[in-house]
Amino acid sequence: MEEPAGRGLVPKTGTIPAALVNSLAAFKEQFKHAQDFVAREITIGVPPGTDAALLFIEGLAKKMEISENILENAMLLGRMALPPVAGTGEELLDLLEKRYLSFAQTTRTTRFEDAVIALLQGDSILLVDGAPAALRFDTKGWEHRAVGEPETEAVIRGPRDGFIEVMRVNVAHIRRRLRTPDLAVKQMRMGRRTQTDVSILYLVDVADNHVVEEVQRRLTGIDIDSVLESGYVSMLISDDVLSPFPLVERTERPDKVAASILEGRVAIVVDNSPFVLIVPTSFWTFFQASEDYYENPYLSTFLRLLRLAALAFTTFGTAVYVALSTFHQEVIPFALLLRIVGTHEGIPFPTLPTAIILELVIEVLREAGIRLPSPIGQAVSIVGAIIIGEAAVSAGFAPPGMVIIVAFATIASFTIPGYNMSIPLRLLRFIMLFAAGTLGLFGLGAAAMVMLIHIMGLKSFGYPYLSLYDVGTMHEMKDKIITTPVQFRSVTRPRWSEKNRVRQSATAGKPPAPRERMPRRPESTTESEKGDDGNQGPDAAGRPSEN
Amino acid sequence: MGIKDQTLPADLPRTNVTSARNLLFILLIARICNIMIFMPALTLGNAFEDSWAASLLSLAWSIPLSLLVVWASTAVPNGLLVAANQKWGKWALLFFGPYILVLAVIPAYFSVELGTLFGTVTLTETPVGVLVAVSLLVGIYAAYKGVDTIGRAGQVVITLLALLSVVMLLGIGYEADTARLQPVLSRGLLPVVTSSITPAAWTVVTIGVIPVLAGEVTRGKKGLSGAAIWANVASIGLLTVMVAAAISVFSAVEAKAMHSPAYMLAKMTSIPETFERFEVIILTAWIGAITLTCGTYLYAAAQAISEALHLTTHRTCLVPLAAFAAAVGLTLFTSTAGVTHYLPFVMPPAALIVVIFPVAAALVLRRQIAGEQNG
Repeated sequence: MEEPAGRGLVPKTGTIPAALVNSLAAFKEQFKHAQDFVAREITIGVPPGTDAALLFIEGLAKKMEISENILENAMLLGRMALPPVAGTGEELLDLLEKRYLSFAQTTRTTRFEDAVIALLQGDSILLVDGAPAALRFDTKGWEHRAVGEPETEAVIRGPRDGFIEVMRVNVAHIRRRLRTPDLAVKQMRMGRRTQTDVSILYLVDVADNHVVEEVQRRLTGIDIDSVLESGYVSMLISDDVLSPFPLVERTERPDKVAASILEGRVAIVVDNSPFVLIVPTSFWTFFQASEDYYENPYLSTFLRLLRLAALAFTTFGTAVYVALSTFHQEVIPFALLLRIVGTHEGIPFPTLPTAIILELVIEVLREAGIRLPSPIGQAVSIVGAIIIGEAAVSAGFAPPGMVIIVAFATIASFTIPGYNMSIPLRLLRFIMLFAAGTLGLFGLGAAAMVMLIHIMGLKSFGYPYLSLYDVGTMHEMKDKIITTPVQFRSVTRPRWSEKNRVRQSATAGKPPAPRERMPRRPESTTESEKGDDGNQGPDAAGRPSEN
Repeated sequence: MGIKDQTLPADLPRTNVTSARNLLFILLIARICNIMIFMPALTLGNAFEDSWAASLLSLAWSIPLSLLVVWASTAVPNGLLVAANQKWGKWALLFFGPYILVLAVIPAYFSVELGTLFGTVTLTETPVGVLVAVSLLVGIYAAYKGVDTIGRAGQVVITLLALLSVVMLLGIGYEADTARLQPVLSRGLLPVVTSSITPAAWTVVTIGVIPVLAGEVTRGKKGLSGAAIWANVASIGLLTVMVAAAISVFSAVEAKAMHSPAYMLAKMTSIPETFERFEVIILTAWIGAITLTCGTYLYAAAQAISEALHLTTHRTCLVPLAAFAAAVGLTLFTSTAGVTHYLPFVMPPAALIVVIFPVAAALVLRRQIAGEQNG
């Protein structure tokens, strides 16, 4: 075997030596620093038998399966004479694979580096003396978090299961919702040292080929030593990594991913991360909660408008207050102006620094609340906000009106379903504050214009990040700022793909004609007949779960 | 380290398609800004006391006008870019050049309006130079980001403006007094008709006819989009109602002085006071719209020129800067020399002159494209 030059990160390369003593020595040399590496040497067949060794990493592989399905069966062979064909090690390997070892997923590998990586992923490797190959058993099994409700995307109505840190489980979550062979699952590995598994999921007959190719191109272009979380991938494939706005969507909700895939988008599942990435994305998707599609559309529309209003307030609320109270007092109604002036009297700081300090205090409280354990964090947030706010007003450090505005702007930011969208808004608030505090509403308008232009210039995998009503995409208005009943909004897919755009049959969702409203119940209805009704099944509707 | 190349392949779909479609909205913005500034002011100014009839005529003229302009909106950038990308593009641009110069005057005129706005919207203690510099920087940034970006930003700005206009209209609606319209109608319609034709014709010539001819070359009648037509009709209707409301509230004498009902209504009305207080916000948005409009025109021109001269790697930055500087210089010149007031009289003949060349160019280009497609 040859030693790769340079990084020395992954194993020596070459074929597995036929002689067990050599192959075992090679593995032991490779894992000489790893005390959790286990090499169980056994003998197969009647004495003197054939020497073999089972290799695995303790903690990554399921010992029970190794004992019951591999070791037990293999060692039982010690009590029986192997067929005459089992003359060479390779032939013995054949017999073990096909006749004796009852293991669900077994593959054969001849490359040393593949075997090493398999071990690191939790697989077990069986070496047999005289065979220049090894059997690889899928014995992955380590302790992981149970499937639970997503903490960052909780809903009142909707499925409660969320992604966890195991990629295979996450892919199964999605697969369970999209029971179609057209769901492509492409796997790759990235991270020179972490060898993190990554899966790309999309519908082959729906997703835009160019986008799929572009996703694969960007992912294969990643050359980094570690990918510890999907956030790494998100940044590495982003169209504009310097922009504060998220150009890759992330979610903990399988139903959201399934709906996105049905829209023609591509999901990226990264091992060790409960956040699945979705591309391309748009500004509006961060304001759409899964629940919007499960609840009454009028309520959902109201909530979306409310979120947009909250977005405006959280970004501009404090800044407008500063601009009005500092420069444009004539805009404020007289009675309110008197009140504001009264509260500002005696405040030792100018309005702008006061606002910035208050915003910073709120950010500190928010950060402290997140880092501390849940009960303590909530207490710190609430008590801190109340006490510090009250104390600041009482001590004459801050006007009460500003405290109210800042607090409400902070609360408003929590209404945005996409948490990673609220992060840039938190930062932008300070820029808006500064602009409003120096040039008044004109400065605020200019800063808002720059922000708008910046957002408008962003693209996510070639698609405009924010567009309001492009010609040709007007049908998306049915599910953008507002939402409509599924009968209307799911007629065609959004702009993400040109393929298979029709999602419902022509009659789907339309109210039946009067004479059809009370159909006569047939004498007997078979399962196949039920399936023929294109309007009943979730697949016929085309969108079992929406996003 | 990291991803090797994050640039997208050139043929990634929808991007170009979306860009092309957005161009419609880009010049829709320009059209709205243009008409909202020029049309009511000139119409009312020429109609003197006959403002109500002038408003109606404004609507009558504006509908076919807007159709033409929408049609043109799809064609101007496309026509320039298509022409510039051809091997004969350089020669074609010789014909389009005067038109581009005409376009450069429009932002100059906008800048004059912008200057008058600064006095009311901004802080009195802030030097106007700082404010102009900030606006210019925003405009340059918009131009740098490109025509696609400006187009979609314009969608948002125009939508916000329209929403604000509706709110204002509702706010002042109940104060309207139709009795103020009677003196206007008592003088007959003929003077109003003749006076209102001038601004409409002027607008048609400057931003209508030439692009329509260019559109014939590139896209033809496909440029007429149903959604955009309705958007135009709605905006024109809104504008006319607003002008009429302004007249009924303030009388024609006061309304005559308005340049744009959208902000002047908010500025002049005292009832309800709430809407008046939002004057500065509206004006800020208005400045943004004007900035984007200027950036659009300049970017389109810069794009065409740089493409034609094979300076594609140097596009977007230098030419818009130079054009903007020229526009500002022209503004200063016209303001200083008092030429601004004569612009409506100077522009039509100038535009008519430049029509001759693009017409000839359009015919030639059409023939050449047809020839290339055939063989």
